[in-house]
Amino acid sequence: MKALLIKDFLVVTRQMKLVLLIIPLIAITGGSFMAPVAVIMGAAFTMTAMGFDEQTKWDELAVMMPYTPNALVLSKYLLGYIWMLIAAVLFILAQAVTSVVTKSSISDSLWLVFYSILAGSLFISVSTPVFFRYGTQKGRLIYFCFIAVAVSLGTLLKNSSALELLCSAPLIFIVITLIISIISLSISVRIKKV
Amino acid sequence: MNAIELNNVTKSYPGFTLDNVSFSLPTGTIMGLVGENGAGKSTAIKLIMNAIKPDSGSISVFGVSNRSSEFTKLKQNIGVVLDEACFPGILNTDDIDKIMKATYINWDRDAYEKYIKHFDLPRGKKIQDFSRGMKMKLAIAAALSHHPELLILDEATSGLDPMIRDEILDVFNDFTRDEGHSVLLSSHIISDLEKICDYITFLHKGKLMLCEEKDVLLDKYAVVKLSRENFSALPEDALIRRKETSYGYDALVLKNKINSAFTPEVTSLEDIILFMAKEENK
Repeated sequence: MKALLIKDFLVVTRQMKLVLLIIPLIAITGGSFMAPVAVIMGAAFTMTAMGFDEQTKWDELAVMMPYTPNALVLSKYLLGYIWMLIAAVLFILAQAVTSVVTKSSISDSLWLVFYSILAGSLFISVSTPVFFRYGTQKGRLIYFCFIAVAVSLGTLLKNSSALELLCSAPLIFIVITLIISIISLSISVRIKKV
Repeated sequence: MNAIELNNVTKSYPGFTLDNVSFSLPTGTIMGLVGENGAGKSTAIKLIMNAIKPDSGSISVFGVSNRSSEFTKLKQNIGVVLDEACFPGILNTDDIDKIMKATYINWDRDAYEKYIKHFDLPRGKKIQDFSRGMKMKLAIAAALSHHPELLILDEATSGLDPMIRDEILDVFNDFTRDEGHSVLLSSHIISDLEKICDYITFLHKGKLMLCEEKDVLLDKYAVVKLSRENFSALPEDALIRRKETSYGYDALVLKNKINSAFTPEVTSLEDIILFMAKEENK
């Protein structure tokens, strides 16, 4: 799996440098409610990596190499989780810098980023089995739907009462996300196994 | 022991069936898998590497069932090259080294460097800026640098100019100098297969037409050119296939069934395969 992660990181970082600049930029210009968009952009690196694999036929070669179906699947999920966290950190750092300048608090942003990570995980869980089954071209629609939902979610959470409600029970959402992730992983492994 | 063994393997897709195919590749030999586009060569290779599941039949590699969990470990001992390099274009030769080092236990960086130098591949240049020949050479370098005992090549030389093909075939020849090394090479360029193969397996429309030692094939069959009168004198059991010409007939015959009245032409493997592909006009 290490080899697969090395490959994906080399490919994604070189192809998607611009996104790493866009994330802090939207944090500064768009404000805290843009957190879901930024984090899901990171989570979407799974889709990006899988798209490049299909384009170069790496996926066809990889199944003939000594990688297990579990490694082929798990590496893609891990890639999404890691980039989602990188996006979250970049977003928080940019927000922290902004808060120093504007002398405002970033506690709301932290909660938004936290729930965005859960939403990003949900995106990975829903989309990745679809990408494994139908390819990224057909599965791309899911990404745009999620971005639309993320923007709506961000706008909704601007309303502090909704945010307070979510903040009161974070554990429930963590557990739900974990369960969905495990189910998604097992579906993807089943798809990948011949 | 056979390096590869297929027993009654069938795989169906809408509009195509690889039909009850059986053949084996003895260890230490090179087998050419020949057939027209869509004959089932790539399907056979995918089945061997367990990339797709057969509808029926069984496949073993070095005596291990390719459906067993042990086969993933055995893949450490197999080098695969497909009809494209399949490496992300944004990467370079050093990146491939890093990835392969983390993939193969026996990855030999020195051997890889040697191949890169031998093939004159540029360092630091993106793979997407390589020519097709360079990309295929890189794929071959990567497939050979973990010292596999079995090399599987799916149309790896197609679309390359004759000089590069020759250079690559020389590398395959060097590889098989070790008696334990085996190669399965699929191609529709029969002249390439004639140069280096010990065995020929011919697939046609998903069916196995023949699997035989190349020398036996060349010894067994011959093309004769016959007038219409001479054709009628040809022993019935000698005729394999025939083709009508303005002069009379060209016929693929069994050499040991014809007498000295019939003069065999110089017959290449390509002639035999092309005649074999003609099913209807025996």
